[in-house]
Amino acid sequence: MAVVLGNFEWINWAAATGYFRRLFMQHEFGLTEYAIRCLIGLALVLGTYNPYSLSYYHWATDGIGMTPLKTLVGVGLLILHSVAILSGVRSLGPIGIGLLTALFASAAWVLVDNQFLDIEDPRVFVLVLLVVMASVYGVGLSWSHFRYRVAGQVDSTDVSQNSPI
Amino acid sequence: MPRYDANPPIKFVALFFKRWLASAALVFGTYNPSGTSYYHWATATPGLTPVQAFTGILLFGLAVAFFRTAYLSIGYVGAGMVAVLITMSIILAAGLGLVDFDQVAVTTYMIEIWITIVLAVGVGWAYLQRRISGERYILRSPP
Repeated sequence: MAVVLGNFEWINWAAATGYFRRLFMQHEFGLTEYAIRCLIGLALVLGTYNPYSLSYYHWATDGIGMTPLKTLVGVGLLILHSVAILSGVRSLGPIGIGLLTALFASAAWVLVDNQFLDIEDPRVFVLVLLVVMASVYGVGLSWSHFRYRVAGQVDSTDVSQNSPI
Repeated sequence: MPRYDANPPIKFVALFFKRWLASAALVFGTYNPSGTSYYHWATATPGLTPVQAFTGILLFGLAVAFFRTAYLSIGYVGAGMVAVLITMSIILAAGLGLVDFDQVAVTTYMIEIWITIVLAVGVGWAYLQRRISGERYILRSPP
């Protein structure tokens, strides 16, 4: 029995690649994908700054060495923030961002009114503002997918023009 | 990721009825003459509670999204055509003797059902256009 190295005819390629084809090609945007983007936005915003002294801001301003690493992480965070903000501005526009901010702020108002949040504490107040911002990040990253799934309209970015965003 | 090179078949009935249900929930939830709606809930007491404000902003945002999407897909002309289509179907029903003209009255319910049908067709139209002619509706500068 001769086993020739490099003979892969015994592999059922259709079955072997089927999982990835389903994963990447017939992928429908659902609540899971939205939750992933929300969590990423939350991690990005709260990782950059939060009022509980455990964030990139506090690490970068504590003045204890590791300046190259701090610069590297800072530029990485800047890039991620740019991607999130620009996709939100493009897909939502000022009207959408205003409406979503009002929506999440009123949700926070509901929680405050029912004594779930104590915004007399300035740290909680700042945290609520950051979570509202992160939620807008999450919707901004998802909105084009939602629009495509619900309405079939495709958002596009005209990169050949000198677009401000 | 959607496959832009494919022309997948659409389930027209499911596509349309899902969007019709969603727009009906939006429109009838905002106002209907039966007395149970967001409008009646919010105007029953002076001032707004936080939950009422949240629901109002949510409904307003959804309405903006739905009307904007429908307007982008079919525009005023398409909305007018759908309205004329509904009117003609009523006239046809009268002509066939299914209803009498005397019974046809323009009520609030009827207008709201018109709005929901226009919204449902508008929101789903891009899928239909892609299936029919392969043309995608692209937003050059969204939203």
